[in-house]
Amino acid sequence: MKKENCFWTLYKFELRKITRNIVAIVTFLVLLFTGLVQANFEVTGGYEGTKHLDANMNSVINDRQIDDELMAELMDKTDEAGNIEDPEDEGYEGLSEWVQDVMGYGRVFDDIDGDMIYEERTASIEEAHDEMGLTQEERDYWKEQEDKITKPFAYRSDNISAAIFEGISNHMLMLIMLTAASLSSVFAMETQRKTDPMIRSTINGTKELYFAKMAAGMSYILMSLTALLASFFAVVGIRFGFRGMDAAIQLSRPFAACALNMWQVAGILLVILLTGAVLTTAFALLISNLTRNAVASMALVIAAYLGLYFGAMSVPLKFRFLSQALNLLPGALVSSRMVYEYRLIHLGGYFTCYQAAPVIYIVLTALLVTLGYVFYKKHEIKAN
Amino acid sequence: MELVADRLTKQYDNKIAVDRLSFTLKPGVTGLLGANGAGKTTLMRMITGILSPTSGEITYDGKEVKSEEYRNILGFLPQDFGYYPEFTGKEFLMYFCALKGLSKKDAKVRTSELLKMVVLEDVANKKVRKYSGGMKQRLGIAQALINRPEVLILDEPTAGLDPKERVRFRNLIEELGKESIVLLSTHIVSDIENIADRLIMMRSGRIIWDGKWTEENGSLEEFYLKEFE
Repeated sequence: MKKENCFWTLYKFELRKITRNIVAIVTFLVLLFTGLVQANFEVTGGYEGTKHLDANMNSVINDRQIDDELMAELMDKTDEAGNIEDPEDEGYEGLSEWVQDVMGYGRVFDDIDGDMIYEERTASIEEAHDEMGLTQEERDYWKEQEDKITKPFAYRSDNISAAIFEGISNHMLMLIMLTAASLSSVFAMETQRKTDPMIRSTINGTKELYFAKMAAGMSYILMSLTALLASFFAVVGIRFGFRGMDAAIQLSRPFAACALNMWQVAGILLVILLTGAVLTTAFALLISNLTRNAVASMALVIAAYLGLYFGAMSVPLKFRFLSQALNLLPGALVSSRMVYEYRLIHLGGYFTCYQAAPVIYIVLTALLVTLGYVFYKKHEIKAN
Repeated sequence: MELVADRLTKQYDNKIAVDRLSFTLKPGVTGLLGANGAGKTTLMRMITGILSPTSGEITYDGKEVKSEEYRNILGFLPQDFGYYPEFTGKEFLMYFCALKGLSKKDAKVRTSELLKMVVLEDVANKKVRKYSGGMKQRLGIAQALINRPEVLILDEPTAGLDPKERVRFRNLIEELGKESIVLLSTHIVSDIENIADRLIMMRSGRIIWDGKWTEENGSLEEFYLKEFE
């Protein structure tokens, strides 16, 4: 009998197996609901209605340069702790918080002027460079980037952009839950349901089936994640609009040393999240293939995420390689704080973490997929 | 058409499941008899290429059993096999048609032929989870026949079938054995005593009887009970 290449037919069947899995369906629906609630909460910050948000977004100081004049105005409207004294001046609250971010909490609001803000910002960035043990080449790189930034910054409230950044970060956790719930059974169930002996004795049951399962798992996660992100952005966009997204990233992350606006940072986060999703999927499928146990796979995927995330947070900066490697993984990197990762990756030239990460994720994915295939091919069915 | 096992051995830790078996299978029905733990399933898994022997080898017309060419002409029904509860009977067979490399067009034709053959056409669009044990078993038999196998390995195929289905199944196997190598393991002597061209009896991983059972040998049932009690 002539053998046909049935990859796409197998792919459709494998996708059908995942989409008809009740655990996957329930998890997706719960995450969709959570995402919609979360979109609202992240923007309003838990305040009743949008009065507070509108006061910030429509502030009279929007688009004004943060300079001596604006700082003098702010000093007049705040007490020593930086609190706004007159409720009518609520529109200054965002700027006050931004100044506290730069100058440090507890700094007395009396004589802060424009120059002090920029000097303090530069000093903080240099301090971070020292803590991270940057080489002279890395310092030169960031100096070059810093020179491209337009200063003084034009003030814009970051309520919407901060909510979008937070929302994208939360989708990383949602991705882990979705992956653990939907993909842990892809290989494991063949063993647990005892379908393995039949499929492995067929002509397409090794190479074609393995790659069809991998492709189905990856495309299911990418499609579901895209749907979750789309609903999140739709709620934010329709309900609140994307005001302030064209402002410089420094209005949300004052120590960022790159000339990017909020949209560009959101775009970078999305690229990292989506390529990170491909890597996470490859990892989850490898675990399902190795353990052949759906519950163990689920637990291992979640444990690996938590372990690596807390590892990234707790490994001291002086262990540069380990700390940098852990911070490069999607769990830690899908955060707008990644603009504070000044350590570069030296691969021929110098690359920032967000330039290198998507490429590294794809290479790691290829390695995991290959490793999984070698194991799958060698896997033997021993038990009854 | 020749399936050759040469000094085939499988050892798990300290237990030898199959011990230096050598035999040659040619077209016809070969019945494999033995009690639980005799090594039948291990032997069948090695013949299908999903389990490697510790030593020895199996070839089909000189081809390795792990080769694609061999899997292309192999049909296998494992003992106590699983299914996909979310698939209908028709989807289950279409899925296995893809696994066996049939084009979509051929798959549709073959699926409907097989559903008819195993009398499941009326419930073809029902989810497999709603099938009775006997229906699932018939579906399993159908998947083993998709690629018109030259080598058909059936591990306890009659489990779960009612007496009427057993008779129909025996006739089907007898027919298939005219052109293919059929190896059928069972506990039930009556399943094979009339259709098997040859019998292999196993105990503790070894062959204790190999040949054609004739009337001169007496009652197979009695011999079996005596040997395996």
